[in-house]
Amino acid sequence: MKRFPLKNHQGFTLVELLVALAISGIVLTSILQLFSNSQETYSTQEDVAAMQQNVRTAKLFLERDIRMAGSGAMNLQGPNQAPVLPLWFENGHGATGTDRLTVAYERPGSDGCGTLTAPATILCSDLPTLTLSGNMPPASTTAEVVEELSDAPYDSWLDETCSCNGIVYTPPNPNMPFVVKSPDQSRTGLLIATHIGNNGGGSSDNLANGPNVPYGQIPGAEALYAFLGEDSSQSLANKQLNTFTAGSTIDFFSPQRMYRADYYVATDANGTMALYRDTGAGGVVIAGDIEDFQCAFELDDGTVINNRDLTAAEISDVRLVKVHVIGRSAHQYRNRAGGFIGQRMALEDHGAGAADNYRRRLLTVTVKVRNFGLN
Amino acid sequence: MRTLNNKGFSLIELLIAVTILAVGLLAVAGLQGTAIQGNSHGNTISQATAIAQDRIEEIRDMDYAAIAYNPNPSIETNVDGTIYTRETLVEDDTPISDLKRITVTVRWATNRPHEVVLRTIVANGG
Repeated sequence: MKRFPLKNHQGFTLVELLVALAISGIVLTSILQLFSNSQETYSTQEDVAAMQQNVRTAKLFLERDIRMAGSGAMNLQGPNQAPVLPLWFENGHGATGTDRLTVAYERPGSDGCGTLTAPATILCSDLPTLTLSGNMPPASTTAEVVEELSDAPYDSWLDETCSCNGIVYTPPNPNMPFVVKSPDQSRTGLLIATHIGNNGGGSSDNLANGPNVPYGQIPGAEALYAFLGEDSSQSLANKQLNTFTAGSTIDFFSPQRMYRADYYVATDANGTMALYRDTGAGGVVIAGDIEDFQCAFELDDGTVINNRDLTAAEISDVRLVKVHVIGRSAHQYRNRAGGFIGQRMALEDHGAGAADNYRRRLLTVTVKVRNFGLN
Repeated sequence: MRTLNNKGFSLIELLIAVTILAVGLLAVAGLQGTAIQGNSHGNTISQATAIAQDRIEEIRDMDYAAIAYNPNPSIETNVDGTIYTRETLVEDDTPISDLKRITVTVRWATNRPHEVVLRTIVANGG
């Protein structure tokens, strides 16, 4: 065959072509394999990262709220003499054997009465603190205060209409909620001021907390009875101000100042289990794909309770709260031979689940409830 | 007219090229492993932090006088059946008297050693 230096007109032989096809076939197959593996790993890891994120978020919210439980709300007695509990626990009360936990505390630094509402002339949170003089018998509905209510700044209790978040309280019969704290902070009461009295210069001014105040007479009662867990048809026993010792402080109380968070697991809009937090305006999902939420409580005598509700007496004895959160992957992994075999692990009083193809992550954290057992 | 080289590639050249391509692709595949490790490392750190936190909360629940470990630091291996080793160090009267400094170190080893350190100071409340 004659070869030209400039042009080669020879084609490929069939064998060459077959060899080239075979090699590219092998190369392409492995590239495809690599791609599909990468794709699978990618979606799995996305799923795993989301799951870990969910569990961490749940843990973050829970530990922060549990740590604060009872702050400013320990030994808080409501106007019906029932204690306002800083923590509730309902065992197995959420979806499929999960627990339910509620904590309450006073939001730090929030005197939040918002903007002034006409005809008010002062925000209730700006009313000065009054001091109980403690020289009236416990049965008396009026209690004398140390301050002279005709002098500034205390006269604002008497002369000014105050407002808090759109609710207006008008003296001298404001029916205004207030909080009274004993000097050593061991007793806190939530009461209603039914009358504010000025006896003129020189004589003791007073604050009345009349008995059996119907909710209907309290401006903005909704927030108050929601906070106390009562209903609008009840009336408040009140009349306990004189059971507090001399020197107790009296401040306006806004139910908005109290923060209450209720944590539970329920089915969300996607049809999967999620951790909800309800702060009074309905439950909000804070972490999706949460399969289990379990709590255990260690009391001051070392008893551990994880399989029943806490009684009211036990609640103030709680010292350590242990919470477990199990997150589950959004998808099942069964594409490979046999698939990924997982199982919801047994936690506290909740037995393990059946085997399936989900991945799971568990985070457990113990929190000491700082505000319990201080007195 | 420009000289054209109409010679093709030899099989050897082709195989070398494919090998280099394979090495490159395997390196890319290796990145997947790194991603998996990253996620799993994130999870391990979360768990280690929780284990360290648990000890600090336990100590916060103890009476000031009772906060002591023998030996100090105390070392627990495989805490709660995990891969973690937890070391708790209590320094009395540090940084000043009537304070104790607590240092909790959680260690674990994957292909190299890792640790999470949490410190807190507790005061003598009475």
